[in-house]
Amino acid sequence: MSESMSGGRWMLLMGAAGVSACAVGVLGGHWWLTRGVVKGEEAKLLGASVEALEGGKPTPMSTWQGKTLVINFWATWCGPCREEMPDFVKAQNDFGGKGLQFVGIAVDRRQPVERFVKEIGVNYPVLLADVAWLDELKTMGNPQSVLPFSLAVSPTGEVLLRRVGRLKYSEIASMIG
Amino acid sequence: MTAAIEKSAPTAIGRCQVWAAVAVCGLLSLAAGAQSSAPRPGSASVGASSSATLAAPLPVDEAFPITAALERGRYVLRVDVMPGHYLYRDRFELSVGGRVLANLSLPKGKMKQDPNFGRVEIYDHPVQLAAAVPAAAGELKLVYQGCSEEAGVCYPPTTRTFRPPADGKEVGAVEGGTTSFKQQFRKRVSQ
Repeated sequence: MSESMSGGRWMLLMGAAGVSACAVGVLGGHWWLTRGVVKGEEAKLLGASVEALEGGKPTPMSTWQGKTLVINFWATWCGPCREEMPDFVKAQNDFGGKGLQFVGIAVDRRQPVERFVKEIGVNYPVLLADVAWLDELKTMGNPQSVLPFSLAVSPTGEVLLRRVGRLKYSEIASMIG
Repeated sequence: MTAAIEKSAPTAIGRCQVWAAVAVCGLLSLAAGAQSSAPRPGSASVGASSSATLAAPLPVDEAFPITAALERGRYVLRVDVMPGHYLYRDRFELSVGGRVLANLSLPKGKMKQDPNFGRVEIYDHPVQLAAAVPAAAGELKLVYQGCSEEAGVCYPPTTRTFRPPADGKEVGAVEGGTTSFKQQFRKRVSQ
């Protein structure tokens, strides 16, 4: 009898441990996945005003609040940046109606940026950032301040993605769902 | 009782196995959640993961270790290039006291057909640069720019300062680990 009780207790204990571990796993995963609420340097970026390529006026990043915002840092001297931008043009065309908004931030001089933007027909706003922003990128998940670098933020302010290197069209499409 | 124990034992073992499997599943899900969501430089920390196969970029000083020496009236700079990386030949600039040295000797590079820039000359192997020491003294600064093919990214133009001693000893950059983007940046980029 005592052996049976002992086995039952053991089963109960194991069961409780299993359920607890599952619960902690699920809740923990949920916490990890939803922890990317904008803060720190990203909040600084989203609260900043950056010079617009067109017109040259400071443009608040809050202009695009409420959209699924993809902020892409790039430069004309960066080959991989130039390669991925046609995908962004296509994505803006395809998903703009679903709330996707690309914003390009060129860490570069005005003249070559204007030339390249015209050349590939960029259909989203392009801003010109001071080189100091390259240092700011270090705390946004880009410790080497390399380009390209993209940051996606949901309409509710959650960081959906931080990408050092190329961001593919398929990834953008899956983000929009 | 014995019979009861004997009868119930296989069932209890079966249940134990089920609960043990649940426990293992739970622990695995916890571990997987933590691992898949932990911040990893070089890939998306949340969401898409297709770039996870690309290497995380090295710090610029590890990608391109550089030393300088003063040898028989010349500055000699040895530039190493890690595998999977390259430097643009035409983006090197050496200056002393803010004056650009026009006599910088750059070895012939490798021609690369770049989809964006056409034919460009690059270094994907160690090179040695040299320039005669000018009459005017001042800090020796080298500007360079390159990319990592293995990570699919480019480094911004980087400036490093060197103070090579008169005894010919090879020295590394003075500002190890920091990148002075502002110096020379506007002049060098987007040419």
